[in-house]
Amino acid sequence: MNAAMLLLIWLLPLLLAALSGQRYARWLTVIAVLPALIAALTVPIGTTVSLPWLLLGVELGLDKTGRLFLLFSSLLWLAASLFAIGSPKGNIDSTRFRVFFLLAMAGNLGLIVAQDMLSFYLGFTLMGLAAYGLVAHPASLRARRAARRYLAWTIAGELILFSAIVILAQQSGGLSFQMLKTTTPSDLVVLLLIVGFGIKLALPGLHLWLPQAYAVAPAPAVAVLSGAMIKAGLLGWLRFLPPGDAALIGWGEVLMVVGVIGIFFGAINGLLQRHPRLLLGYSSISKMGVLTLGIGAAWAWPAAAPALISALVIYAAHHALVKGALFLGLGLVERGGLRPWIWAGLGFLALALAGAPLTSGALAKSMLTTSLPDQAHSLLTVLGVAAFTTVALMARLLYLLWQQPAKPVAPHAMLSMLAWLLLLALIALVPFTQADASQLFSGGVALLLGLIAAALVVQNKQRLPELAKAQGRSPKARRYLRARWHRIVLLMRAMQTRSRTLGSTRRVIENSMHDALQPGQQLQSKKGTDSWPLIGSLWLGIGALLLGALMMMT
Amino acid sequence: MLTTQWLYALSGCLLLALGLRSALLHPALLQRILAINVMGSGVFMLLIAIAYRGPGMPPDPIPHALVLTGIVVAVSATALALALARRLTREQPHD
Amino acid sequence: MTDALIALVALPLTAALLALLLPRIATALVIFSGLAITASAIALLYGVNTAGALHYELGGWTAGLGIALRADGLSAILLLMIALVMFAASVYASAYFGKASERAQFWPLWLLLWTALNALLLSGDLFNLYVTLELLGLSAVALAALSGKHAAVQAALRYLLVGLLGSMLFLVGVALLYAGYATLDLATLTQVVKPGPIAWSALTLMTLGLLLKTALFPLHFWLPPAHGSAPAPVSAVLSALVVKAAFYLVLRLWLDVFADIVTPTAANLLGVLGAGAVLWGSWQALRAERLKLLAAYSTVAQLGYLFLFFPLLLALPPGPARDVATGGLVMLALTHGFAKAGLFLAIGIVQQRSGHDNIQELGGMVQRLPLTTFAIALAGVALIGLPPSGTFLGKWQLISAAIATGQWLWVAVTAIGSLLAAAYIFRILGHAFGNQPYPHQAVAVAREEWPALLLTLTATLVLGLAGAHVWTLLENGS
Repeated sequence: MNAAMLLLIWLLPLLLAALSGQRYARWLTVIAVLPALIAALTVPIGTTVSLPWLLLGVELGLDKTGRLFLLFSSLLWLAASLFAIGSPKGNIDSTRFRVFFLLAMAGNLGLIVAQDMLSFYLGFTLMGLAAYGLVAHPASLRARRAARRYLAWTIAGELILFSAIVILAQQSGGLSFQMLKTTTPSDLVVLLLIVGFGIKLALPGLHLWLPQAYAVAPAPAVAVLSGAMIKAGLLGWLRFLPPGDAALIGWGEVLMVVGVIGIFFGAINGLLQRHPRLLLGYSSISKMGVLTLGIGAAWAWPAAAPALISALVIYAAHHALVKGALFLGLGLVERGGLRPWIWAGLGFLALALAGAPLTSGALAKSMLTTSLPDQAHSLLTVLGVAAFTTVALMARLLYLLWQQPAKPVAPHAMLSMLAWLLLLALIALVPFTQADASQLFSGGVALLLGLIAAALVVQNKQRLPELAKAQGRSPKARRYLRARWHRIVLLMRAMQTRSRTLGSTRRVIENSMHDALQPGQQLQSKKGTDSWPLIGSLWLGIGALLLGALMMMT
Repeated sequence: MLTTQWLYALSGCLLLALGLRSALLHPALLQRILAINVMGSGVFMLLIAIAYRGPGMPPDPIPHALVLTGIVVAVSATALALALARRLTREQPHD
Repeated sequence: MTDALIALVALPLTAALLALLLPRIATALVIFSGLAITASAIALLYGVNTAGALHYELGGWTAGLGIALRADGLSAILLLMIALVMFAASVYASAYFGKASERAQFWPLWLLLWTALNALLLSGDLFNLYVTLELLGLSAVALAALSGKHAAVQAALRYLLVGLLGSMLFLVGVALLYAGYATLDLATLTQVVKPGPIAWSALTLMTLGLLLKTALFPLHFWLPPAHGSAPAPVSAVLSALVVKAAFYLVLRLWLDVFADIVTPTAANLLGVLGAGAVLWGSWQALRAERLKLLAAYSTVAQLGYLFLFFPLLLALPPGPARDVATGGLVMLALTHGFAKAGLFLAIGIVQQRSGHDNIQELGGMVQRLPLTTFAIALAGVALIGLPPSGTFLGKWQLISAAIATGQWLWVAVTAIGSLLAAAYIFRILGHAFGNQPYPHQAVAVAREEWPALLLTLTATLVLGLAGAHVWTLLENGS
């Protein structure tokens, strides 16, 4: 029974994807999440399913980390499904959207229960590619461009991951995650895995796909992208590179540096945005910096790793639900205009993300800080500053929403609203079931400081250009930056002109190559020369080489 | 008698080389088809030379069977090539 | 089991003659004989799996003058692929060719092609191989020229001349081997062949001929126009099966018959050409403006992957590691066969419904032809090599073997090739999934859509998920 439930997590969304063209298909997305939700709540830890005949041998199973991942991911997918069903007809209530949604769901929930590298990779790939359809869904030129960029990064990431998996399988002699716990990965593998999963986690520099994708995709899609799917990168690191290996200590330090850069890179860029979705996107990059920092710490200090990992998973769950709810709330605003109670709900979410007392954010942050080892004092400072920047980001988000020109208020679909409110209630209640009071009251200082700063920022908005203020730079500094940017643009243009002159030479060579190797097309245009002699001499040349090679026998 | 066998074999090789050269270098379609036929004849000569087993001995039947089958194949291939070529030139008289 | 051996050749041959005599019932005849052939292929596979390699001499004549049929795991698997692909394409063709006169021309040649394919896979001696190779070439050329359009006839003629040149060299190689070892039987030759001028030049000549027929870069020039201008079901089997028949022979010669003679340098040469095919073919597919040309260039690239295996197999010592890698090669060939056949069939539907196959003008296709678009997407999954397609398993073994033998160059080539494949597949899908109104009245026929869909599903799901059986079969059937 339990084993069947694990299998259904994969199979049901896939099967339902095949049916999603039918008339009764509206509710399929909700049904498809259920096995994962039920499994997360009822299936005992340690359940495994082994299918040795499938692919190169598939192993599914549920462990402690997987269970929490499964729980928050399935809750978010459920909320997003309900939200999507409530959307107006014809837009995202379409077969195409449902198919991609279900495929991405199968991949995301499936990879969580995967216990071998290949099934994880299968889920990861399915999720990544199906999300392309979600991003491209609006079919505008902008969406297509964003989707293309997303796809290029995703495929590059998957290829890097694939190479890492093959090398790891060679080194460990098998595909199961169990074997990886006793394998020392080579530096190349670690690098490949950091980059491969880093693309999904939008590490600074590898994040270029994220902002535009979040800006164009339909709200429920962005909710699962930013909440559930992005976390697959974290799970990947946990599964493929379990802390405890001495070889990872050095890399842990590297990852901590990357994480710190990510935190501030995301925060600063987020503050510069005018569009709420872009702001939230960069906030995700910043929060993923926190997770990266945590993984780095777990690698660098193996003794603290178990506590750190559970803290990180809680943090991931908190971020997933809150960020998903924020995007769904934005979706409500975009559809029906800002209502006071939506603004209040978003305000609550913003407080939770900023780690205000009595919210899930406070719980997650206090768990993370207490699980850090004593050597990591400096990290505490970093996390404190990070919390401060989050407060500023959230203040700006609420401010931006408040500033938005009032839209004609359209009626809200009951179901979407209901989904959102349920998610809100869940976020509000969960911390009280889990934590003791001291954890819930941490983080008040950063919040207070942040709120004061935010108030000052809003106060001063008349006097300084908005961007300069948010960035904390003078207008002069901005002018300098702009001039430097201008110079780079000029330089690139000059290079383009150069390459155009080079291009004409290249074209001549290319054309002659083309004529030589494609006589078919060229004969059809009836002007080319005969290329048989060339092909013939190539052919005979290969023969001569082959004969020579055969005679080289020792 | 050895010389006869070598005569056949060498002229077979010569025909083969000549045919190959024409097939690759001559742009005209008909010439190319004929060149491949010449190549075929070269191979058949070679096979006949191989069949020779010495004075007074009956020749090896297997290469002979190969030649016979080969001829049938060559004839049908040539017929197909000519049919296609005719279709091509009928549509495009200047080609 | 010998009944299945005979049936695989006799059934399509008889049906071809009957179809020529009785054009009215030819369609039904093809479907029924297709079912029977598929059943025979399954029976053969079962027999080979349980009892090992099979051997049968027709009429009791011993090899030499007589015709001997034989089958092992490799040929039995490929025979089943041929049967399934040909059957699916037959169902498709029965709807694709609207006029009775077209069908009357088509079916006899089609069945003759099927006969040649089966006979080639079952032949165990070099002369029968030569004859079946010629028969295959001739029927393929006639089918490629069937539309009668200028471009098609021109491409078919080039295809014919190339094929004849290839067969001539092959025949010279056969003659040399007979002169040297007085036998044409592959199994006997395997034991007696020794390194020396005769074996070297015979292998060179035969390989040269076969490389031309299997369109290995840079000898692929004839393939894109021929596969790109033939009717859809014909393109499907040309790309999926016919080029692979020649490849199968290369494989047999290099790994079985001449295994003691082949040198690493020679295998590297094939690997380099294969790498060229992967890169050049993928690049040209990315630049192609028509769907059919894209698919044809993708065939050039996919054949390149098969040749990448040669240097790897040679570097691995005979034993389990090598068998596993060989299984990967077979898996790649199988998946490509199913996926490419399905892709060409789907493209044929697009071409018939919209009157063109320009990639730029496919916008909104998914709305009118959802199943066809889905089939193209599935074929794409297999061509890129995403899991769970069989290509994924094949590339997995390819890369594993490359890493195990330290030949990193082939890893890089595979990676770049996969990236380019992803680019050209998503180029199609990007257009097809667009939101633009699709201007053509498109009503798809189930008899056309389902074969395409089932073939691509086989490539992406069945082969990938049940891939382990292929390795077992190869092992049991050796």
